[in-house]
Amino acid sequence: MNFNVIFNLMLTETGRSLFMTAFATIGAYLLGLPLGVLLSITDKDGIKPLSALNWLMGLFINIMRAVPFLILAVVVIPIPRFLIGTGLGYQAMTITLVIASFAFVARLVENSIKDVDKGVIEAAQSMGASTFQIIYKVLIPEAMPSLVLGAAIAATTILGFSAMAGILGGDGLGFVAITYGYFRWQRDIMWIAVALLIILVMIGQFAGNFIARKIDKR
Amino acid sequence: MEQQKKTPIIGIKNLSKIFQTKGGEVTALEDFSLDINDGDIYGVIGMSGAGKSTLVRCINALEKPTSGSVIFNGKDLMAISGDELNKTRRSMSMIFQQFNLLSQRNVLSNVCFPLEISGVPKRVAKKKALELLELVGIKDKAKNYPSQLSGGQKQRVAIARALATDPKVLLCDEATSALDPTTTASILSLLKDIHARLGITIVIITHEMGVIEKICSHVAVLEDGHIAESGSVEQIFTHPKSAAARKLVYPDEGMRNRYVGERCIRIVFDGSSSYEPVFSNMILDCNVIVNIMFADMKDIEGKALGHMIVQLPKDELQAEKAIAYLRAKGIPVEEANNEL
Ligand SMILES: Nc1ncnc2c1ncn2[C@@H]1O[C@H](COP(=O)(O)OP(=O)(O)OP(=O)(O)O)[C@@H](O)[C@H]1O
Ligand SMILES: [Mg+2]
Repeated sequence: MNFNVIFNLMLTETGRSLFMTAFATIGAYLLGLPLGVLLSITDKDGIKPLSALNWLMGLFINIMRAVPFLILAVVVIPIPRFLIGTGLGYQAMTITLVIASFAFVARLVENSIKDVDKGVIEAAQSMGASTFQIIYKVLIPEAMPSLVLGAAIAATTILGFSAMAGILGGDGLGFVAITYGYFRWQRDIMWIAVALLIILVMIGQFAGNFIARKIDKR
Repeated sequence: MEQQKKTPIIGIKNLSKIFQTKGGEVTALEDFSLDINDGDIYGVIGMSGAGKSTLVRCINALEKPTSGSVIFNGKDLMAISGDELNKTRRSMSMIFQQFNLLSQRNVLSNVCFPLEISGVPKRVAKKKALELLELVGIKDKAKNYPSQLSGGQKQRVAIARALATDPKVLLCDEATSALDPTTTASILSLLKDIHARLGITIVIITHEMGVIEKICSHVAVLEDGHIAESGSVEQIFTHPKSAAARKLVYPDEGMRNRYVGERCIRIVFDGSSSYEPVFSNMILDCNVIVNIMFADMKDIEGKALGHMIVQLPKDELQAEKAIAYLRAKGIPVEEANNEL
């Protein structure tokens, strides 16, 4: 394989890895953020204690997180098949990644929100803020630096999942590493793909740390 | 008499709060009743754990009492909830020991916060917030973040924020306890100034008698969840009746005995001096505490005749100082331990 072919392969597959990671992260937060907020506020010392609901959500999240990713990915294949007509390829894998990671995201969010100073919440309550106002004017803004750090962890973890999904025919750098390195015995291509994955993880983590530090006013 | 006819702005009736904990029940407030009139600066003082924080949290319904009621401005706070309670809370602001400012908002938008949540348009809110920052003397910090301010400055921002919704009552829970004495004094005089200008009712929760002295018109002494004594500050200061109030007004009353030692001396007044000034001057000049054990004195035409036995301070140096002082004044002093 000449340089151009390798270059184009890497470019396309890096793009697909980024596509999966970006959209799966967004999707995971669309589900995980509300769930995480709900988890933290319904806790017994949250602003809206609802122990039964809290327990049920906790149970559900623990189950989702306990199932190994590859097994979950196989089990949920009917979902992308139903939604976009196929269980293969990077678009389908994006949906699978959302399902596999939103529970993890919910826990990250829950932790960030629980770290918000109780005194500040009490001050907002004493001013007559409603539960909803406390969520979007106090909890989320106050937790923002920590939420951003969590998002960096989520995105890099989802990138790792997407690479693992290569084994199921998911496209992306993980798929390249597995097909060339394992099935075709072209170790150099595999190492390039792995190096690119490492670089992406580092960039993601660095960006998260940088933004979190930048926006934190404490 | 007139005070009695006025309906109080805050009426607390038979309030009890029992916390259920793993270690059993904790009674934080027990059958607590108190009326606070419009325009008062009402102090509530008590030792740590007396139930002060629980009381303020019940006053603005952050805590649900086990029984009893709080009537604020004619409204029973225990009977309302949701939107109505939130609306009512806007006319009763609170400041805290730990300031509790939003760390990710600057000073100006912290003060805007209560206006924002009550739906005041942004421009109006900003104008009002700037006026309030001016009032508390911290307008130049409008664009700073709380982490860039000192404790006193943070409390000023918190006061501005508390005043934003034009409340009728300002609740202060240990608002100066995290501040040094100078800053405490400046925050208290700010509160006094605000009281004079706006006529707002202020409830001050504290464990320091100094805070009550400086600013309050009335005071309730809280002990183990109930009122030991309440009334005007002057009255409690001059005639504290309960043990709890005495302890606060004369904080080292009970400690004095510890300083007085065993050694006793007899002081003889032979008429060459008048007794009173010499004796009290010795106490003041030498800064010693003594116990009069026995005295048989006669004041004849301004001359003191007789003798008294006093117990000297434990500290030997102080004891010697007192004896030397008396001898220097020409008053005979002799050891008297074996006489008692
Ligand atoms: N949420 C709670 N759960 C259980 N017990 C509580 C709770 N809040 C307060 N208490 C108990 O109620 C009593 C009164 O507490 P409170 O905080 O009102 O005291 P305080 O007078 O404000 O003390 P401090 O000066 O230390 O702030 C204490 O014995 C405390 O342990
Ligand atoms: Mg307290």
